[in-house]
Amino acid sequence: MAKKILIVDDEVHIKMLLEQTLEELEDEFEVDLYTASDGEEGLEFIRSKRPDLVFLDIMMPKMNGYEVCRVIKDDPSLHDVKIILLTAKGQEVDRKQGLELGAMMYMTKPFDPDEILRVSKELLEL
Amino acid sequence: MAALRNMSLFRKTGLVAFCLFGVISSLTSVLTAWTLYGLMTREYVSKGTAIAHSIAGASQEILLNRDAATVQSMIDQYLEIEGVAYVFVTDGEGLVVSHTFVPEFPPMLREVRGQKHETTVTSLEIAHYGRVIDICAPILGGLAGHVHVGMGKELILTYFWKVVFRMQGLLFIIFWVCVGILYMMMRRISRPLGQLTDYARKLAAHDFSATIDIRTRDELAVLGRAMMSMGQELSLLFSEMESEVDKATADLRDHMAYLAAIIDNLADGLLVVDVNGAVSVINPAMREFFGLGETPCKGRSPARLFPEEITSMADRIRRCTDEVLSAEIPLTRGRTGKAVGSSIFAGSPAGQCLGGVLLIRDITREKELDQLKTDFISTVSHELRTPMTSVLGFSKIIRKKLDKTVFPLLTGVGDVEKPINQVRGNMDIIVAEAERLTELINDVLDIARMEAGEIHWRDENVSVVSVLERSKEATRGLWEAKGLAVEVEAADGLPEVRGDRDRLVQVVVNLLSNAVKFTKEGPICCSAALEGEYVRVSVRDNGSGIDPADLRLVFDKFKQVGDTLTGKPEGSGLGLPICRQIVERHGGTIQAESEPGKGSVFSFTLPVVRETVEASREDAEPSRCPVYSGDAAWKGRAAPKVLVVDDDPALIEYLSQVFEEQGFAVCEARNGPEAVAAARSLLPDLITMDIMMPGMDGHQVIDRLRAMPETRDIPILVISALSGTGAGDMALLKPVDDEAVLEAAGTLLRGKACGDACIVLGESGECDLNGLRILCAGEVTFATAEEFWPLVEGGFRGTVFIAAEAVGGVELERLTRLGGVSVILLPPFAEN
Repeated sequence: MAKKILIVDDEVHIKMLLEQTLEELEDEFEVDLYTASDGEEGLEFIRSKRPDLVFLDIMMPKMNGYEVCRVIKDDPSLHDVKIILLTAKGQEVDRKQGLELGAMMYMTKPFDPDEILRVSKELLEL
Repeated sequence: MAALRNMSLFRKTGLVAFCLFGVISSLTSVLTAWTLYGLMTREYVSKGTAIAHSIAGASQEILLNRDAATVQSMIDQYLEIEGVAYVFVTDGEGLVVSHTFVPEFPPMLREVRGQKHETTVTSLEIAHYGRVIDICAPILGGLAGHVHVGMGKELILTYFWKVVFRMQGLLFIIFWVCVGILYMMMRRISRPLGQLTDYARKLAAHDFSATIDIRTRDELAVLGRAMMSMGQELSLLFSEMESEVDKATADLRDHMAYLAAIIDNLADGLLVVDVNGAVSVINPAMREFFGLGETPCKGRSPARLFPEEITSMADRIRRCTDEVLSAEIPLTRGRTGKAVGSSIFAGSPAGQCLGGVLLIRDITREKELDQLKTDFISTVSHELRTPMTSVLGFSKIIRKKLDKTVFPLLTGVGDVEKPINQVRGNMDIIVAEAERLTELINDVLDIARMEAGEIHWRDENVSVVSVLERSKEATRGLWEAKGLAVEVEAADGLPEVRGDRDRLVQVVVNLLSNAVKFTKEGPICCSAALEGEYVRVSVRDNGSGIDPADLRLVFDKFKQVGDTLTGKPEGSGLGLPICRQIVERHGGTIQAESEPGKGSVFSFTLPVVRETVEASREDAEPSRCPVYSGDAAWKGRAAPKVLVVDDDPALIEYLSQVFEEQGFAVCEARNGPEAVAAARSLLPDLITMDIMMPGMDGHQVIDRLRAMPETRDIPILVISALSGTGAGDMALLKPVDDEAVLEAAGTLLRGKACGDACIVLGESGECDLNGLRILCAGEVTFATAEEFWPLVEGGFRGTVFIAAEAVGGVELERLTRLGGVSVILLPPFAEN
């Protein structure tokens, strides 16, 4: 069964960048890419499609990344969804908060596409 | 006179004079009277003798004739003479011839016998006559008888007393006259004396208006004048002194008013408590901070006026300790104050303690500014990073796609070789510049965050040597690219320091990369030595050096040494300021020394913490693991060895069971030091690591394991409540299930053995591809010597094949340090 990766980011360019970066996985492995433009949309997708890995931006309209994390953490059925927080906020408190909310990783922008690929492969066990 | 009597001086003198006068007058009169008495007695005796001789001479014949009547008449005549008491004549037989006694001759006189040839004088006392002097003169040698003349002594005594009385009377008069004269003189003297006394009394009573008028033209007048001038002098001095005192008092009052004004107008709240803990000074700002209004505060206990925080601080500072307390305290109207308190000592350094003083500053605005700064950093951080992400990310993707897809299509198509190379070069520049910009943004944010106190500093025991080694490794790419060598020298037995390992590595990396930047040849020496209570780390190069004028600027922000217009600046200019921030945060100092043309030494100190080092060593002692003398115990066992590290015994038990059921050999460690010791002695195939552990946390354990060559390659599975912290090779979130653990362990163990992927150094034609397919399950990449290092160091896990011919060009040692990389040397390629 194809693994599902969801990219949630309100920045169109970042979304494109992640998509293009992860396309490599799509070509090589059985991976499907999905995108969402804000927290609510992302959460809806997570609830309906159960992606394996979510790249989640923190600063987004409607519902921010922390809130999404909190909802996922409170819902036991969503515990196997792995979340990588992607953010420009590089402060220690943010990092700590993110990890406390159950995110698997916390990556700061600007990120290295190769690093994204490596981490994704590792987390998806490809 | 009354005044005179009151003066004891005059009374005494008078008394003495009176007595003296009495004695003198008595003695004088006694002497005079006595002399008179003696003289009169002698006069009477001679008078009597003369009378006696006269009678004797005249009466010789009469007596011989026995003419008694004649004798009688003769002697009667003599009786008339003053002082003659009696006269009588005796005949030769001693019989009284005639006498003048009336009525009868005293019988006692018959006894008085005269001498024959000389006159005798005898004192007698006769009844009715009193005391008399009897003078007896012989008549004709006693033949004719004797004449006796009695001179009455009473008369002499009468005269005597008369003289005494008269003299006494005279002297008495003289005495009183003298007293009168003396009194008059005394009065003359005593009036100016009284004036002087009065004047002196007035002076004593500070009445300087009094005057003194003595016109006696004697010493008293001089004394009076002297006293007057003394009084004037005193008055002058007194008025001067008074004006001085007035001035000083006014000054003091002004000063007090000045101080009071300062205290009252102080924007900070001021509270002074005495040693008993009662409020002694409070200023309006303080009242305002706590909404006290006009409540009387002086002398009251702070506990009745202020919140708990202030009360406890006031209580501590009044106990006269040397410490300076500070705390953030909520004020009224939602404001925040920073309170600083200390004890007050009169005189320095350890005088008498007077209580404590507490200052509170309203830092609401600062807090807001601080928040603003934080928000700004956060915003800038976001606003800069987001576009940088796109720029850098897309640049890399474009470069990759061009290299992989576009350029291969164009090879051999016309004259495209040059443009392709240009585009490739330009892409490299874009990526490099984007990376530089990213680095600058990171540096700026880093220092801004440090200055804003936003950085969370870890506090752990750090081995300086490991910091140096890690820094050396981290900068390997830089110095190897320039063909330089970095030598690490550390003194033996260097104690650990306390601090944030990653930040310290950041400092040394920064110093090393600076050194590399400015050095063309020769080794860069990185050393650490103990210097008192500090460890000094120095990075020495023999590069271009720094001009002395610039030396003190190198730690300033955005200062780059040299001409930034002609010379192209490299880096952000923030590296050294960041280093300084980090070192100072660790309680050390950073210095630079340099000699232009000869090189520079950058060094910094870190305080040593000895006791905690001891403690962490003790922690390492109790291990539940059998410590084998070597790895011999594991040999011969086929089963993989797992070291489970967790501070929770329950989880250790659970994980042990999971692994043991699958035939793993399991060993346990409950804390960081134990884990490191066990990993070194047992060399397990896999380690599961908890992150949150007391003392040494999982990050530190992983860092330590990665720093040691023998444990560097052991895969680490992080199992933590705080997963995804970027440590270890893989992470699982607690609670974990056995399937996930075993799956992850399996993945890691497989990765450690000949991995999925392979890199072959050399061209594909030079290798036995069939052989490789057997060894490599995953992708096989062929790399040239230039492509090799970026590939291998860019997170590659798997096996590296190096042909024997190519071994000379590869640093095997560097390769073996990388985690998750196995190296296989291929035998010389056989022709057939």
